[in-house]
Amino acid sequence: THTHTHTHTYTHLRMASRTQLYTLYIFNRDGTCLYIRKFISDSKAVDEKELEIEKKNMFGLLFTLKTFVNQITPRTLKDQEKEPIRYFQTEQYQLHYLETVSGLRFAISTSPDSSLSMQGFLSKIYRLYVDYVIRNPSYNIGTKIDLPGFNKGVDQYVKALAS
Amino acid sequence: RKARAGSAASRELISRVSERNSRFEHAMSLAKMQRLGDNTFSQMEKVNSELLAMTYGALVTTLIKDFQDVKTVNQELEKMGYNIGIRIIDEFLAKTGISQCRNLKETAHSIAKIGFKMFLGINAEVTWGSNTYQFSIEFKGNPLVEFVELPEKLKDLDYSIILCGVIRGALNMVQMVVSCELKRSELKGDPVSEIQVTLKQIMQEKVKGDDD
Repeated sequence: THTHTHTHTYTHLRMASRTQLYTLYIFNRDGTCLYIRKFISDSKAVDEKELEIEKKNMFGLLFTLKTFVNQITPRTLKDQEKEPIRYFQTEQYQLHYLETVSGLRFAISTSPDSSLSMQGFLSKIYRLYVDYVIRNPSYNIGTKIDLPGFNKGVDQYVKALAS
Repeated sequence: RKARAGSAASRELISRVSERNSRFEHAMSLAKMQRLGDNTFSQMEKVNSELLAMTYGALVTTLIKDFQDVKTVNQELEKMGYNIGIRIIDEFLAKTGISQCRNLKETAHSIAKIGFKMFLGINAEVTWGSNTYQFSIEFKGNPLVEFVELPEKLKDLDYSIILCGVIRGALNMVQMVVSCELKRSELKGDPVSEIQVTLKQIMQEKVKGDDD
């Protein structure tokens, strides 16, 4: 079976601001998880079933959260509200979110001490998606991303941030 | 006259969109859009326009040779445009940082002032007819038609129809179902080229169910 996590993992990768990246997700409008990338090395092997559940749960969470925020937002502010969710924080992690007008959802979980805005990070991942994924003629829109060019781009960007 | 939409909800959405249009609201002013178009264009990687024109010309010629029928060639070019459109939308959104358009007027201007400028380097204008769910994009100096002359036997060829497909594909990815027609063409003797865009339907948000 084909795993979606990249073979290279980073043990305790810390960025310049001491923020630790956990997992990067990319979903499309339908809920298909196009990309999942874990930045923390896991000693145990990747369990396919668990991963599928994680993907489903994450999308469900983001979708429900967005719906909820839209419902409680006062009517007068609704038109001006461009991004219902930017990030949320728990004791264990922060979850940063970027949704494009085209329905793509980028999310990254980080350590709770993230002081820098991860919106810039997610925007950069979006740019990498544009450069390496959709420009690739062999890639079909809406399918899982398994492109070495994209992985390399993400790698290089993350490495550059850590230095 | 109302647009033929798939569902009552969609009809509702379209009439709301049209209603907003008539109030001529703009979250982003026209001048700002033009500036954004110019700025983004200056940052884009450029390709030689002659190379583009020649390549496209070779493509169209090959299609004509393969299919022989002008109508089929038009359809194929439009389909190709559609496949470009579904990809180009993300490049457009990522590079301009533009957020959701609030009404069809903003959509029209985004395409003409920003999209056409960014990707083709030309300045396009938006015109409206009597329908608020239909607009036209008028432009001159399309780089694709440089050096091109249509022979008599190909007078029904919509040479630039690929652009119609691009617009249709791009809007499809932002929940709008439109039809695009190449109404006028500089190649056919018109003073400007014109693409007419008609909003047919606004798609509702659908999510994969748990048991899919």
